Amino acid sequence: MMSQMINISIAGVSGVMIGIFLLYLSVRVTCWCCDKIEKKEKRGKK
Amino acid sequence: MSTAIDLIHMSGFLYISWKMVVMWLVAFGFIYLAIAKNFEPLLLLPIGFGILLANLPFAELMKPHEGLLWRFYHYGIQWEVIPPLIFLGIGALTDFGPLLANPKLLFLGGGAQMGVYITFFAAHLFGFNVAESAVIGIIGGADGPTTIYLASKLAPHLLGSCAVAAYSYMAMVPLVQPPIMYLMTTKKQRQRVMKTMRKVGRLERILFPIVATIVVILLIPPSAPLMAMFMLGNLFRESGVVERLNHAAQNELLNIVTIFLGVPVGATMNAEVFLKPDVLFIFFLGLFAFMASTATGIGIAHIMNLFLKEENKINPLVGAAGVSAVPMSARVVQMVGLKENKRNYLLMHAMGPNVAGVIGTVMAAGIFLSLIK
Repeated sequence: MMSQMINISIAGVSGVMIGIFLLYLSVRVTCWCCDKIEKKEKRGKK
Repeated sequence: MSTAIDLIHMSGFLYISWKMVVMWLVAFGFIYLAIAKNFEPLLLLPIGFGILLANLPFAELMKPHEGLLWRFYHYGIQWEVIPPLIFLGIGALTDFGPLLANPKLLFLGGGAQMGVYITFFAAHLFGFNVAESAVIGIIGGADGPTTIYLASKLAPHLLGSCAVAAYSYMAMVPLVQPPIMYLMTTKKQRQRVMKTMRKVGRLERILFPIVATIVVILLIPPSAPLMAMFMLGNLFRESGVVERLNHAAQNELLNIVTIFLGVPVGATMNAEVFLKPDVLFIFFLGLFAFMASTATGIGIAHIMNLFLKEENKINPLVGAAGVSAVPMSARVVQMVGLKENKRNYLLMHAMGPNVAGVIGTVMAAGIFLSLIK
């Protein structure tokens, strides 16, 4: 039982941190893409 | 005369037990806190009234298949309808701007979830089984609907006490968090002014709920009901083209489901279930969970600062907002920061980890559901 608890705790903490890290990466990529699109639009207007 | 005696026997007066009276006092306590102290009134008031209703002899409002409140409970909570609908409303109310402006704040929301797992472990040491420990641990996420959702799936008999513990501690954030914040930070750290946030564009705001839905649900499929509704609500808000739906999700829908959530949750707390030593342990462990999550959030902020350049360093107080008591814990961070430095406006910085905490708690609950059968 104790080993199951340890396994769940380790899997839980690492699962949340991996999820957050993936979300962080995807946010960074999304923001980078949006920035590029906005700059392109501004250049197009000029 | 005999008719009068029959009537008295048919009434509930003769069947009032001391346990019921104790529960009435608990109910009056919640109603008092909601009305006189304004502590989470939207939830504590219906929960308090639900407790009162569940402890009136012969009312049988929670009688399976017949009672009115049982129907609310069964079709709303056991069928997992209400918590996701609450998330739809919360999503429509949430501004992810501060998080998108400074995405590294996401890690604070994730870090605060460590408190959930510390408590999960502690609850097991107190004799709770694995499923019960998971439900008690998730109280540390400070997210009522997620606690209710997880409890309804893993340990329905703990639903009432865990939900009430979660909402009570959420109301007590201004009392629980500051001592830990002072204990884990120096005066100089609390005075740190964070860099002004950049402006977040409309396209980023629209893409975030879509991207977050894909990433989180692919990684942790059991989190889908809560995550999907949360992000759908946010997409309503940010798209700007469905103002009626956005308005309905934020107001009418959220208000209606709050009623249908609060009253039956309170009604699960009848004297036989509630007046047990286990419930005291749950309240104690819930407080511990809340404190542990606050501490781990601040701890992660300290660790992040070791790797950040001086101008990008985070005020460690914002780590405390990693628990997802939105927006209460962000307000507490603002209050403590302002007390130390009159020019220190941390509210928007703290909103980042605050909303990240909601996502983190949903992930933690999804992982529990994946691993505990």
